[in-house]
Amino acid sequence: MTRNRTRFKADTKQPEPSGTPEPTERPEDEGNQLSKQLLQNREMFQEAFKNCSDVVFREIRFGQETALLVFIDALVNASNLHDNALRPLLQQLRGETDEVTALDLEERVITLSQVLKIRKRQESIDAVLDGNAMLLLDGLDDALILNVSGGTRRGVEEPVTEASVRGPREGFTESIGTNIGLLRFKIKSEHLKTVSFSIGEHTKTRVLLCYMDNLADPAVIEEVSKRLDGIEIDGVLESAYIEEFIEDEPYSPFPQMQYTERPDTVAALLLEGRFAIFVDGTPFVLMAPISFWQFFQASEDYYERYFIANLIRWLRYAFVFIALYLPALYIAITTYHQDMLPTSLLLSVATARESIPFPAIVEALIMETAFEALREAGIRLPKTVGQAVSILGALVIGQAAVQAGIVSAPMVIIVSMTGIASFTIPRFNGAIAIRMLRFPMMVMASAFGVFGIVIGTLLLSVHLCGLRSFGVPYLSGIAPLKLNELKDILIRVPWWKSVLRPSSYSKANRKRMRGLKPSPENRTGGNRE
Amino acid sequence: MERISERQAMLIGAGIIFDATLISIPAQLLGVAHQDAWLTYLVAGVAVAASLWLLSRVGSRFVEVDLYEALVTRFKWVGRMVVLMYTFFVFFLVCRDLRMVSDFVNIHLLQKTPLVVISILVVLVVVFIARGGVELLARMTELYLPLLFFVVLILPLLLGKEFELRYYKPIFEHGVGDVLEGGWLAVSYVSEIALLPFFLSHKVFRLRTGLYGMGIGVFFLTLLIALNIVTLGPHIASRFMYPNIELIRQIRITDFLDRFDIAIVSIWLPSIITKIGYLLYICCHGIKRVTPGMSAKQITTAVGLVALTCSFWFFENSIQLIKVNYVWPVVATLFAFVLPLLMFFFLKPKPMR
Repeated sequence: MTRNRTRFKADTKQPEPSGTPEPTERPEDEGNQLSKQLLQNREMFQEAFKNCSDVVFREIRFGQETALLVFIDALVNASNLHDNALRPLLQQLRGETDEVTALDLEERVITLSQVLKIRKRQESIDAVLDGNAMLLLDGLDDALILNVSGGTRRGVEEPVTEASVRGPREGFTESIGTNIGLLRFKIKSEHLKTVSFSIGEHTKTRVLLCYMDNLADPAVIEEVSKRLDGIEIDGVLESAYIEEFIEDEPYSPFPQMQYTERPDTVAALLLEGRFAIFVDGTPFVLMAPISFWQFFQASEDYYERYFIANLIRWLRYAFVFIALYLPALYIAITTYHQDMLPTSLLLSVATARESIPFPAIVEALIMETAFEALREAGIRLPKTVGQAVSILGALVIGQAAVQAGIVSAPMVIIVSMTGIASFTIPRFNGAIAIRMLRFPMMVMASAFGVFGIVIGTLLLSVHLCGLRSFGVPYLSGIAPLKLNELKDILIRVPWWKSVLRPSSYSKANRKRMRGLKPSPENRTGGNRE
Repeated sequence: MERISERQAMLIGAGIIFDATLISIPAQLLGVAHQDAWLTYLVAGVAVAASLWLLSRVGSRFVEVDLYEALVTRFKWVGRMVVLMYTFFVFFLVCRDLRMVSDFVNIHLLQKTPLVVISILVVLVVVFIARGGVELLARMTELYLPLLFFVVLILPLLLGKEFELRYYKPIFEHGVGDVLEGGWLAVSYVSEIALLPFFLSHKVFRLRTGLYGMGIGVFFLTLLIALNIVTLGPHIASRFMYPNIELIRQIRITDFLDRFDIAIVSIWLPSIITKIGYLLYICCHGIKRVTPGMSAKQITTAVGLVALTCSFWFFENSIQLIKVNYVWPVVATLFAFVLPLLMFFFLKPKPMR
């Protein structure tokens, strides 16, 4: 009877091309190398994964030989592992009598799309922790890394924080592979580059830097790559960690990077010459450089007709002014500049405030603080009681406080208007900055009236004028004035007029299109497949 | 190295002329030239254009550097002395404008707040602005000055129904002499634009930049004083401390919308404070040229605080601010005409051997 004996041997090493020096291994690398003996490797990995009950060590026998499959059950796609690795190994090699090399396994037996060979212990451990399966063979000092990543992750859904009436409904998920796929669906160009980083000593989080190499400023890409390379941290769980490490002014209340859950937003900004940073484990993608005016731009502005988009954008600008200044103006006018009010309004406000025991600033702080607390509590409330609490806050706190004589009715209106105004700002991180800054404005107004508001505004302006986002001035477009960029700041011009990309971000290749106004005469075609 | 564009330099020039002048000298001009006061800025503008031409010719000999650098490099000790003189001149302007703004806010907005508190707030912001450098100054100007110009441009629409066009007649009732005397008073403020070539190189600030900037500033000043004449009349306007504020108080659209002065003052205040920021920056820039080891940014706070103290020391009350306007043209003539003329003849690059 013929003994079915499968023997594994190492691949024959190919000679290096002349002129290429062989890398010499350092003495400390010797402990990091895999052994040719399966038993030794098994002991090494069992020691490394000691007390890790979710790590599976699966022995596979081929006649007298043994192989070992190591994987983490929750991270792999079990059916993929079974159908494309285990079954071929067990079925095809059962009757094999010739020597089998790792190359044979890689090219003829295992039917997975990606199989890598690794010789180093730590890299093998990292690969298993990343959701791959590791196949160790007796007589080989290579570990075959089988790409069977899977696990249970959230599916593609509509973004929660950026809902829109018109526009794509898909949003990013926690899986970086899925997210890059969603982006590749939008930008089908070889110029879209994705540079990979691994950041976090323990989490080894995969971070991808994406940019269009024919549009982005190479100096900016080099700078951001340098900053990403320089991050030293134990773990990265969200893109905010990366943001805080690489932004220009860490003490500024204004964000210098934008985040989004929408692939269309990322694609639009990449096509303007900016870069995006994807972080595994979070659906929020970072984008930069940005300007202050982007906080007032939403994706929907570019999907609806430009008349509507312009009206809504001007509404947002007006409401940003209200969100920042309305409480401060009320305090300043009622405390210092009562003559600014028309007589009838003055009498009405005076009547309302007559019985209030607190000065305007205290009244405003009470209401604003209560509103902020209510808003913060609302985020964490279960959906079932959220509605009830909203009614509670609006009716009970507002109405009851007025009837109790703690605050005046005009103040309730002021605070409500301010709250509504802050919600009109599309970007949450920009809205938070505006919301927080209204408190110092209120204090300045209470101390110095309108002059205090002016001083506060000036200090804010000085800060904004000096702020940069990866080299681009934060108020770029208005200060410094760039007429080309005003067409997307003050207004939103029709797409056929938006011929040039913003010069702040895309220095090369600024021309986006020919810029023909749609008309029956200007039909050049060329898009049919 | 910080760079600004020609357009930004032009706006800075317009701002330097316009911002402080509109609360400092209109009443005196109206008192001297009466209904012809609208010509006084034009006369001053023509005179200052000559100064700009002189400085531009000197600047063209040292294209890459500003005139402070040119003076110090070409004449080690005499150059430093001239720079020091200009620095003291600018320092005095900082003190004057600082006191002017503080007095204005105290009189018009915060009557019960101590003057020193208002001044401290202004100095705080001015120091922040000046520390930011010339790029920050330029961006602040681009942010606020166009808004102010827009407001001034719509004033004729808002005040149209208050006009009495007979107020500007008869033209030259008291002769050309009064207009020239008014121009003499105005030249002390309009000539402040001649400071710009001392901290901006010729590449950024050329003759046409200066002329455009001056043209814009003089145009808006002329517009405002003309509105004063046809709305308030020269006899009443000349008796106000701040005729332009009284002018704005006349804006009455309906019974509901009739108090715009505080709103418009709120738009103007950032511009004047930015202007004081330019002057403080020029002053610190000059000190740095005289003492090369010093960092201009680090001394800004100290110079600002000294200016705060001096603004109270030099001017006991706001009447003295008005009185200085009658003697200041002599000093301004020295720095805007005499010294530039001497530089035109003597400040040339070393001959190549």
